[in-house]
Amino acid sequence: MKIGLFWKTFLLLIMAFSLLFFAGFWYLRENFADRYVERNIEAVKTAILDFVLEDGTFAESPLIEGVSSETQFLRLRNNVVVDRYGTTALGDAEVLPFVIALYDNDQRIVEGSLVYVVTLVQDVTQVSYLYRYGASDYLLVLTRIQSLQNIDAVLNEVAIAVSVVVFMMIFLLSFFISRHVSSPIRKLAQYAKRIAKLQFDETLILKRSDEFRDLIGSLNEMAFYLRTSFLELEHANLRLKDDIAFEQRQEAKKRQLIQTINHELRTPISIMRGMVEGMLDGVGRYKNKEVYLSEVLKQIDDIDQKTKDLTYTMRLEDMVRKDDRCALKTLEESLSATMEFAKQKKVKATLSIGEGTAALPCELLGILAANLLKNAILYTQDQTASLAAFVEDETIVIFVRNKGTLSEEDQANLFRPYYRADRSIEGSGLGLFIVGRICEICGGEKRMYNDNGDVVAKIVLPKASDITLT
Amino acid sequence: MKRFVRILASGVLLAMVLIAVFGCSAQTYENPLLFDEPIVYSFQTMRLEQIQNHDIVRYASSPATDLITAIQTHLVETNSTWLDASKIQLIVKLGELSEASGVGLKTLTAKSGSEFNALALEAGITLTIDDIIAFANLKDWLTAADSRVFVTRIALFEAAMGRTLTSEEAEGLSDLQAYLSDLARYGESVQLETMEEAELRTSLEERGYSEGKVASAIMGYQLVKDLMP
Repeated sequence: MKIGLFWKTFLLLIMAFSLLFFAGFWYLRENFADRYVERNIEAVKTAILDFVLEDGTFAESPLIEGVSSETQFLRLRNNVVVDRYGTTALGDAEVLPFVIALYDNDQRIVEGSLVYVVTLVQDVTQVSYLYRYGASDYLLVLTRIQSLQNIDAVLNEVAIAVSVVVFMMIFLLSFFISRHVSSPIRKLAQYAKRIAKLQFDETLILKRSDEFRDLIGSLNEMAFYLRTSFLELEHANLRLKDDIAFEQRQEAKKRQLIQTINHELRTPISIMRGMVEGMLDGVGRYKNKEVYLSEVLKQIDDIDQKTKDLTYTMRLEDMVRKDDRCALKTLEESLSATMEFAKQKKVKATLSIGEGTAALPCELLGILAANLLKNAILYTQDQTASLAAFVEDETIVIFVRNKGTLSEEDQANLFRPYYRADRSIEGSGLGLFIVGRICEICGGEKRMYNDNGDVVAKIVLPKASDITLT
Repeated sequence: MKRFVRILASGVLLAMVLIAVFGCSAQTYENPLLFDEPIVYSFQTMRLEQIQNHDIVRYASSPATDLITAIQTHLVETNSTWLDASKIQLIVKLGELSEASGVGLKTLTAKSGSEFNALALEAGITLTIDDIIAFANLKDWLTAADSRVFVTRIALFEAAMGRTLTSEEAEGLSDLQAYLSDLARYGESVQLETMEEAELRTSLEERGYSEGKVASAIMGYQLVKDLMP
């Protein structure tokens, strides 16, 4: 059977207090009479020393109040009673027997000039003293202490009356002490159980100023560190899950990319195979080898360009560092070649570059902006294109705008590799794919949409202070 | 064998000579007492020990005198002033009571205060509080005291006479003791209680004592006579 701490403490305290009470009462009973007599003797001794003046007479106000009510003082000089004080229990004729009885008693106590003996005569404690001042000069003192026989009975009666109150006090005291001791321990146990179950939703608060205070403080500190560690672990788990999911997505993308590459490269290779076979067999139009060899060379250059773009795409992630920073103003220089390209295409391109610093390398920022602007130059329907870069809501925003319209299919696939909205327009189909990859790598957002007859590309990138790598 | 018989005969002869010499002297020899020799007082028996018949201290000795002298001697050795007037008074009363009741000091000091008081009352001796206290103190003292003490004859005589002896008086007592010892050596004795001064003088002169020694011994005789009841 499990007995709780409260009940154990409560019962132990009741037993201990009761034992103390009974032991105290027993000691009182056993020692009361002796102590009473001892105290009386001490009082008489003091009185003997203070009671008699230097000239031998008794003091006018003797300190006799402190001694027993039945005390007699006799002053003897040359065997004659010269003075007496107190009761008249001892007559002149009894003086000699008094002294004889005092000195015949083997239990007499000698303390310097004082000799005294304690005797019990018919239940009356009688103390006989003799103090010697000099030759034939004595003080005799006889003290009679009334019967102490009834003391036990009186003490018993008092004890019974008192014990009721005492036991009530013992009960209450034991209850409060037990509660005081067990309550914090019980709360500590409950708190520890919650911690064991990883429930950190509560903090233990106890208004104590003793060792429990330190214990509770240590427990709360331990719970705090456990909670922090647990949250960090949980966060790490979530991040690990995200990383795994990301890796899986990347793997899927790579697989799709490889399939696309396979498809994109197989087409020119098939064309080249047909041309070369036709030239070898000398059939039809392929007899003119010079024309078709230059066509084959063009196809080979095309494949080479695609291979370079793919290689570059694969290297993008390796170019990112944790503390990369790039001022928007650098775009003016990065886009100089693109602006020259716009002139060749007879497109009026405008730049609006604000202040701010993006959290990515300048090379990637330049590629991102150049690809977007080049795309706008190639697809604009009114020979105008614009690029604006600025800070908005603690982010870097790049707007690229050109005249035109995007179909729903285009909007869904523009950032996929080798997707080209219009195959008649030159391009590899990797420009926007690279833009998308840079956004993913740097934690940015990308969007292309129609806006009042224009095609708008909106890119949101983190500011330098908000950099996070994914 | 012959040699053995000769040794045996010599031994028997030697034994016979020794028996004859010591046996004869035992009959006539008395230990020669010197007046200045100390005497043993035993607190166990509360009396002087080994007092011979010809010792003049017999005339000065009494239970009270002996005890007072013994205590005084003991206290001189221990340099204490314990023996005050009240205790001397008690010892005197003890002596009187001992004589009156025929109870020895040893027995008396073994009694309780009440028994002592009762005996004293029977003997017509009144005890005081001083006596009772002194009696208790004496009993305590005797319990703690050594078993015996050496006392001198001069001290005993002085205690008996209640005064200090002069050197002439001490010399007289010494010469008287020498005379009594001289008599005892030859197996003779005199009773000083009944002996007249003239008899003593004649006896001294017959024994060849000088005139000065005779006069000195007579002075000692007179001191002893004064102590006789």
